[in-house]
Amino acid sequence: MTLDQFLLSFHNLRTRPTRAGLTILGVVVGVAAVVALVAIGQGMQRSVEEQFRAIGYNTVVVTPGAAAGEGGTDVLALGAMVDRFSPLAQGGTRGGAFRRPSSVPLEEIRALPEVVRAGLIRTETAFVTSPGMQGLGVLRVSGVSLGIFDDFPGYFPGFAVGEGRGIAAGDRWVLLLGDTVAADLGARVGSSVRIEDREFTVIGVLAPTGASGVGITYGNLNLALFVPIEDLAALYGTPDRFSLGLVEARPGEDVERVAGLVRSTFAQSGIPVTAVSTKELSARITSVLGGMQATLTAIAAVALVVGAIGVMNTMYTSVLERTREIGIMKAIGAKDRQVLSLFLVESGLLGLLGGAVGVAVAAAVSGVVSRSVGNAFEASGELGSFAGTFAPRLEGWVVVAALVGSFLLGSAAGVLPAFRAARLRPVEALRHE
Amino acid sequence: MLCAVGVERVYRLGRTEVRALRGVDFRVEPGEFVAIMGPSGSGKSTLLGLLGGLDVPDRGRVLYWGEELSRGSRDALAEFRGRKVGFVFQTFNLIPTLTALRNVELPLVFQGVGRRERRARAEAQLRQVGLGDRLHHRPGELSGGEQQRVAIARALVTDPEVLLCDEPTGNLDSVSGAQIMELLARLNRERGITVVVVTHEPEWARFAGRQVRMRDGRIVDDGEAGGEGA
Repeated sequence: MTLDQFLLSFHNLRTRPTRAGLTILGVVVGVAAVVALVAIGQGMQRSVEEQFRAIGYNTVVVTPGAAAGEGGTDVLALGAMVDRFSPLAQGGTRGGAFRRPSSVPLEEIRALPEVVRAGLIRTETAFVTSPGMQGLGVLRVSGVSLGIFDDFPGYFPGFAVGEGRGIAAGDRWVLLLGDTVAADLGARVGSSVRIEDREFTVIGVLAPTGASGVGITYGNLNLALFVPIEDLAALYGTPDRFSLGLVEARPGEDVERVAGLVRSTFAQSGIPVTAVSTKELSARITSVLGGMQATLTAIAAVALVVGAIGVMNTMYTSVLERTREIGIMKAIGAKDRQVLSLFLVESGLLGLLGGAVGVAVAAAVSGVVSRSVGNAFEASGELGSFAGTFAPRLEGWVVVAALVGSFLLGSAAGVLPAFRAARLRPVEALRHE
Repeated sequence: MLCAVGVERVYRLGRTEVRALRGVDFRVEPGEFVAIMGPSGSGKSTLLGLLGGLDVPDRGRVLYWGEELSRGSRDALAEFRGRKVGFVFQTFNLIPTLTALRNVELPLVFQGVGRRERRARAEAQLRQVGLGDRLHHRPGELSGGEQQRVAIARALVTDPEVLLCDEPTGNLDSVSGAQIMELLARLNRERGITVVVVTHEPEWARFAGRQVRMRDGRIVDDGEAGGEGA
């Protein structure tokens, strides 16, 4: 195959621009679908990895309720993670009728020599009113253990106190508000806000943040209401409940072993929990995402097959139409393999052009899709923290693989027609009308 | 140089068998100008195709300098077509999307000749057939006579030993036809190229030094020019 033969293949495409264009369009759809899905999937995986890296891989994530079978299935573990957003998320035990509920053993965990620091979050949906607003709102209120913002900054991306101060030791019935919530409530530092039937004093307002907490992190801090976790326990009278625990293992400790210690410590208090290392959790989520992506990509690949059939159809038509031309080329000395490569390159070019346009379309489409999916999550409120998870990521190797792959796909689709062309007997091809 | 020995060729058209050649012996020597004549269906084009390696016989042999063509591989046959013979067809058989120059260059593309040399040789050949001012015209923009001259230039550009012409004047008016036959005669005379022309018009056969008559797949007369016709 010389450059001149390559140019001849290209010339042949240009002589039938409409047909070539439509065939290319078929490939574009397939390539764009696959590449866009890969880009979105990789974006999701990457953002999950980044979040876990921010939280730290030596951290154990604790959620209430024992997973089915220790470790549980991926989906259950994911479910437990997502459950914490639900107002109904509860510890598996509300305490029997004859037993006083025990407290979440935070201090015991902190006392473990294998543990550097630990924190708890308890999220409830509560009626909230303030003098600065009319009526009342049903808002998500998070009780936090002391020092959690400093201990686990990765879980609260963009956290910074704008006015007033944070929650300090000994604080009771105090409230730290997100910027948007503060505005909605018409509250500022020193204001009084009523949650259920208790008055809370606003001690601080968070600086507005554009960092949208995504996926597994806290969520949109602009919408947050933080109170000391003890206040929520007192308010609801259930000190055994929590939504999420974070435990950082001492460097050098086996995180999985620490997870086991955390589990048994909770079990001693009669609270069954699922304790999974961030590493393990990251692997599980990544594997679920990977599976999802593989399935979606396989479905999208059907479009690719249809595109390839289009190329094959075009090439068969082309061979049929140019039978006489093939006869001429053979009469003036073209060898079988030269005719073969002429048609293979032509169909490969159809694939390659389709691939190039497809990648460009994928880049545009994946951006639009993730924005609209993100907006949908954002609008859903509860799952708003998942919004940013869908930033697509088009890696260089994906682009290269898509281009090489679409050229090969086009060539493969052209193999049978090209063989037919190459094997034509010159004298018969020349007789073809 | 080029000879057929007892060649037979049978075509199948649906269920019927057409015996195009029924045992033909034929021989061309270097520098000859041979006209093969006969009514349509007499097998003259089939014979020309076999001599040029476009087809292989069902029985018998085609020899080029003593070497049997049909014994060689498909590649060897392609090589033979590309370097040793040049074809000129009744319907010109130019590639309509390529310019005259590109059409003439094409055989050299398949031989892997470099662009510069290819272009120079194709241009020279087109000038020789009087088309120096038509290099960048496509076949559709040329008259029938001009198209046939492009085809002759294409056949000559590889410096073949034999020019095999299948009814080269069949699609031309008599003036253009005469010009083409004169061109072939001149090439034969001045460059010593062997020419075999298939025609069914006796007026063109007078250009040839030797006239061969075929009927029903056989050669019925293989005489010198003027032997019988004059």
